[in-house]
Amino acid sequence: MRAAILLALAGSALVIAAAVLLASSRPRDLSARARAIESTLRCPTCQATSVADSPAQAARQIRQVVEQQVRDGRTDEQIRGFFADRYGTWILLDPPTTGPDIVVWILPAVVVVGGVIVLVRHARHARQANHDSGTADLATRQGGPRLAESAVFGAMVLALLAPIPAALGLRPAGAPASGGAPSTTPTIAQLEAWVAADPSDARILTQLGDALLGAGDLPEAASRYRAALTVDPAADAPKLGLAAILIESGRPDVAVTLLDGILGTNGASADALFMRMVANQQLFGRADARVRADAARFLEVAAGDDVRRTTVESLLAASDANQSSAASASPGSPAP
Amino acid sequence: MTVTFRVTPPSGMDRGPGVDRPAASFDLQTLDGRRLGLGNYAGRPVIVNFWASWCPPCREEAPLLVQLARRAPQGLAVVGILYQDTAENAQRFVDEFGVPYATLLDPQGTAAIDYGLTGIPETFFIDRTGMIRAHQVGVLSQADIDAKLRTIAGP
Repeated sequence: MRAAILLALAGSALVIAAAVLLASSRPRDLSARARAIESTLRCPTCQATSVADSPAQAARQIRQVVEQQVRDGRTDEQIRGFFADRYGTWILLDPPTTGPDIVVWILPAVVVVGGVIVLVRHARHARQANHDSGTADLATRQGGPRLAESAVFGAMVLALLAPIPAALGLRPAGAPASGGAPSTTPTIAQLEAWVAADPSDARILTQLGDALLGAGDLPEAASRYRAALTVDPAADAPKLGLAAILIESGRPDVAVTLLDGILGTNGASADALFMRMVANQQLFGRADARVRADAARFLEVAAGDDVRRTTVESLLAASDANQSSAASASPGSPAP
Repeated sequence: MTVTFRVTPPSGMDRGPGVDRPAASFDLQTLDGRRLGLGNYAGRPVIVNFWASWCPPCREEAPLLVQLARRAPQGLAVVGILYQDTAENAQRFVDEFGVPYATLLDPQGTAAIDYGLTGIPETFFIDRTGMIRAHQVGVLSQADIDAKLRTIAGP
């Protein structure tokens, strides 16, 4: 009997403890969730500060909305989507892997691919020049600087590989952001269904193009970007996507024409400047005046914490070094 | 001296709420204690201007908006929404410039959030069907007003 009472008491205590634990942990969980979401949103009136960390009134008001929506049971993605819908995806500190922001994710890859192509071409060219020259003296004069240039460029490509992904917070698809909410992005099938439902939505067409590009389906991606441009010829995002495809598929000349169009109306587009610099570099080499002009302009307009700055500064420095070494090694000789 | 009140979103990224989207509805209290919402202007072109008395560019554009509201071409309505300011300071501003249009208080910042505000002044040009057709980030000039007005009120 006594054992039964003790057992009943223990059972009740357990139930009460569980209830208390649940009650006390619930607000804490909600608050932690709200805080995690707030840390992935950019304070709209501050520079480079999250809503979680900003004392600004605008950030405080956004925190109230986030907390209310968490209490209302909305998912992390619904809440982030609520703000992205109002402010644009710019408000998300962790940019989505779809939409125009795909440029942020694919640019490092495009640069690396472009860099490798240029490196291979340089090496081939140097070998060809050595072979054609027939004299050891000429081989040393021409092959030397080219090999040195290739080595500098190779080092630049390698340098690109390491810091950019880390600085951008790049991570494998599906892996959760550190301290942030796991991001779910629409699948290609979803986007295709949305496009079928409304083929005149340029933003969704662009997102589908981005998703296809991410999946490596360049022809389909290009077709979707072109469809987006048919709907909205003034949109820059599909042009940037097309330019990335063109650079990647060895047509930097066509990419330059597209990027000229973007820069004609928005000369301060850091993305377009950077991509045109990469494209022209493939076409004419890094010492070309157009490459240097875009690089200099990029440094003027890009945000102070833009990780591509290091790349562009390295390019300009290597180009300077190349020019001065070429001048001192063989004055009056034509540029390689 | 240039005073910056805003953060410019990086280029290449989309910018909400953007044009050609339905304007977010609002239902707020005016400086003189009435309730007013976008629905009150159904069927009319509307200019929604976010401002504050402490913002010098807002002072710069105020006379242009006042003049426009007085002319009210093609039934145009101008509505001001106060951003991070007190009703007292706003009333002084309204008296100083003779603002003839309604000024709405947005103490929770809900309208500012719904319109994706990144600073002030910011102005939205909404057509008769309730669609945003133009958006001005920063101070309005007469040329800006003329060009953007054409998108909602015709020539």
